[in-house]
Amino acid sequence: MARTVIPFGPQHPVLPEPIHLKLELEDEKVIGVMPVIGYVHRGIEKAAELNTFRQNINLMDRICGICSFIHSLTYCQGIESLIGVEVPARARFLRVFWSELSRAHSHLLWLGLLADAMGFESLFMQCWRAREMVLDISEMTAGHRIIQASCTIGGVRRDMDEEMVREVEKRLIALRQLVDSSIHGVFLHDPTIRQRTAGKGVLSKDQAEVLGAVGHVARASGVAVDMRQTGYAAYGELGFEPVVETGCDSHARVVVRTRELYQSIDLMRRSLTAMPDGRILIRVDGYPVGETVSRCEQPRGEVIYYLKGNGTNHLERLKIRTPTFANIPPLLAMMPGCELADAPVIALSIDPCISCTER
Amino acid sequence: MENEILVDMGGLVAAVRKLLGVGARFGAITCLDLGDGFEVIYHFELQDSPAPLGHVKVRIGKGEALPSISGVYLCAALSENEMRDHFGIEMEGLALDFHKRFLRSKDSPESELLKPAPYEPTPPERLPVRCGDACPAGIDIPRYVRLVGDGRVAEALAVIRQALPFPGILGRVCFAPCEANCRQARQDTPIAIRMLKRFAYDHAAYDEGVPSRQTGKRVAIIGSGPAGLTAAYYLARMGHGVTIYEALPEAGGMMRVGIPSYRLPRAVLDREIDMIRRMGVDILTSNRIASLDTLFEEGYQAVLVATGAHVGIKMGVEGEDHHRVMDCIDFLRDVNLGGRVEPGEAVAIIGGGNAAIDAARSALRLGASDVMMYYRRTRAEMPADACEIEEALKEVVKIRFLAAPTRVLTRDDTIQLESICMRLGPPDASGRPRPEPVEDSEFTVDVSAVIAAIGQHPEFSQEFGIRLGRGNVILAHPETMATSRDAVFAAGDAVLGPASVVEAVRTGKQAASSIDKYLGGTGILAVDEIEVRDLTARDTFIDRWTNESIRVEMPSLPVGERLRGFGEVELGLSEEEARAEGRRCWRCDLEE
Repeated sequence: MARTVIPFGPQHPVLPEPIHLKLELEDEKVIGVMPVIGYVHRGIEKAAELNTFRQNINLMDRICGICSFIHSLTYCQGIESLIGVEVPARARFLRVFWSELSRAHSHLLWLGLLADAMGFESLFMQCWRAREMVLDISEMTAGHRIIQASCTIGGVRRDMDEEMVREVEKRLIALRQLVDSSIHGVFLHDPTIRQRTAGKGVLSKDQAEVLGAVGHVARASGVAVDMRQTGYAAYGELGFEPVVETGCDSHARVVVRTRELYQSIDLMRRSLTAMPDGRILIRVDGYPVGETVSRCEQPRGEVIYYLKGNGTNHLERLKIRTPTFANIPPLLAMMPGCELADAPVIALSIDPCISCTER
Repeated sequence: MENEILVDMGGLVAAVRKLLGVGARFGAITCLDLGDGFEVIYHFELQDSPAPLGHVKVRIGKGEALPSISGVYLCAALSENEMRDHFGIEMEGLALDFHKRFLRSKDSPESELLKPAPYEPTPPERLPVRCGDACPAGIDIPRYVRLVGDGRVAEALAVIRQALPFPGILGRVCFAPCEANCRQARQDTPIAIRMLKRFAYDHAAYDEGVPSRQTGKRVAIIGSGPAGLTAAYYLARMGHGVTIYEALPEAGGMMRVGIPSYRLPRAVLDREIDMIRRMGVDILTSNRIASLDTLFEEGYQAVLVATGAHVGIKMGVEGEDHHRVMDCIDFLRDVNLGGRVEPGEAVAIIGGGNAAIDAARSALRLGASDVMMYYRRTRAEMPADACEIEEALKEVVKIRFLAAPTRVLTRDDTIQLESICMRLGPPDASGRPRPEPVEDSEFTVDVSAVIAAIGQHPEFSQEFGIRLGRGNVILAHPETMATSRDAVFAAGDAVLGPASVVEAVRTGKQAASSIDKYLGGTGILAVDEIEVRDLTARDTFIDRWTNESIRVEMPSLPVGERLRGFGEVELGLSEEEARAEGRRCWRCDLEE
């Protein structure tokens, strides 16, 4: 039996993210994996100390291109709790809206990439067609397709009028129909997808707990971890139950995310309906003092911000733990024993976001 | 933070194991550089999600090795490797060791998150702002506006004082180019910057230090207007001996004889001039200088010519030599120096500038009941300050637009003004539409006096021996204010033609700087160093977004009361109003 080490990434056709996995193979079988990261480390935690704490909002928006809104939301919530600010209700509902819009965007993007990794081009196209509708909503409501830049300390920066709410509603219904007709059923029932994902990358519930899995990786293994349960922003008012599957494999992760897609569309519609009138922003004077931890649920899982302020315009320390960082240990546990051909799908099944991970 | 425990290094692994026992989920590790050591915080979610976080804190000294918890929570190994990368902490028993090459590559900077940080802890960077750029005197406008808003009036006055010697005067008469350039002017509600300046002067005292160092050099300044006084102030502060020669019986130049006292009370003017006298400046009034040579013979090393523009331009129409046809500058001078001036019932003012408005409003106060201004273009082209026009209209000054005088018909003591209607033609060299007479549209009115206010220019004795340019102004270098003659500098209206007090201040400062250089100094204007900490929060986004702010209205005398005399029209802001107005500023200089 010949042992081979195959470098997977950072440049690989199915892997848009610059992660490098050293796959140790025995014939075609993966027996060990070692991650190598650091290709896109940008020193953002240091930059956050050099910037003023308000400039950081823009920096946080740019940690990740997909969950950018939730990054700045987590940051702003941390600052708000340090300064002691109560955010207006309307802003909290709008924060939910944009958070879920990011999630819908991310999930559709990922479902498409996964289909692409399996060579299922037409499904990839369908997913990205639906994603395009999400981006249009983003552009309409926030002025940008990708980075919404709508969150700020004390609320949000943009409001929606009734006409826009109606239009968003219309588009969300259309989006739901598209997901219904050409995405959901295929991911759930298509035999090819089933064969490529079912039983691949198994992570038992115990492993998920011990290895600190978060997000859909944990929820697909029966661990109901979802920060939205903590009721930040308006999730408390809207009521929230996490989507949990017990398949423990890549297919379960696909199912979790497909179901979450519906949940996101639903949450967006409910948040717009339940959104009260009023201000979207309050004035925040003062400087952050003390330390706090702020947590939110990103499309990929729990993001943890540790903030320490010293009463000046600059933060003493900002520490960011992103979901992919927490999901790498589970990935290392999933890989051994799989076929080399399955490695891309398994690696993708945690939806790695390296620009988040390395910051 | 809630649920935090501090353990020592030996107890760390045991404490973490206990957390595993109760089913805590590992979250993250934060490391902080405290200077003399590190604080490492382990974040856990205490039970099944959702649950509060618990934190285990441990302190280690620099150079100490930290026991790894990866034996308990394997997933912590990545966080520990990251911490090792960023802080260079040695770890004991790390399950997965990337040898400080986890996030960093061999080219990355060493231990990037260590402190002290390799940067200056910043005083917040301030951006150039439109209001400040627009100020000829270069006042740090956003800062003093902010200080007034914070109620720190004395500091605000000190900030203004750095840029000019008489905030009290400019707080009343400045045409405030800053306000036109305020970003909020786009929404018609610019910050009332001038009123805040006046408020600072009225409500705070400023202790002017008398210069201790004397250079032994002597400078003569001809003219005690704003330019001359400004130059005198700065030259005196730099230790030069300064003497001002003033031709008129009182000091102040146009501020004294041009600006009526309902705009600038004489008490304020006197106080400001006294301050300059106290700096050791001699002001010799009723002392007309005919020749610069005599000054140099008297031992002055440099001379500043700041004689202003006191000669009115003639209308060039028939009959204007009649004694009831007055020149605006002469009229105002007579009024302001307390001479007997009786313009009569119906006064016609020719011109649309600020001097014309001053003459019109003064005439009203002298008993005229029918004051009509004739301006050959329309209100849009009127060079006078918009607020001034507004106030004049309130006091019932009538303005006839598109009309120009053609001749003055004189019959003994009564006079008639014949004018012609105009229409606007294509733009002329100044960019404004050229007024063209409409044929056969002459009309005449009976008036008791005609005051011509169509402009003024400087006039100099030939003996000065300096080169003059168009409009009879002195040709001076725009930066150094040096004239064609050695050791002679010029400033104010003498160089600019009729301008404004704040422009005169600017040229006065420039002249003071280059005279100092000429006398062997550095040319750096001596100003009081003041330390001001900007502590106001910088978030004005919400104000910009909601735009609820409304500009404060300057309280003023009721019109009926105004016309009884020359009492000051503007009454000044209350402290509450001033603070609210200062807080309204968007602080563009602190924008991030």
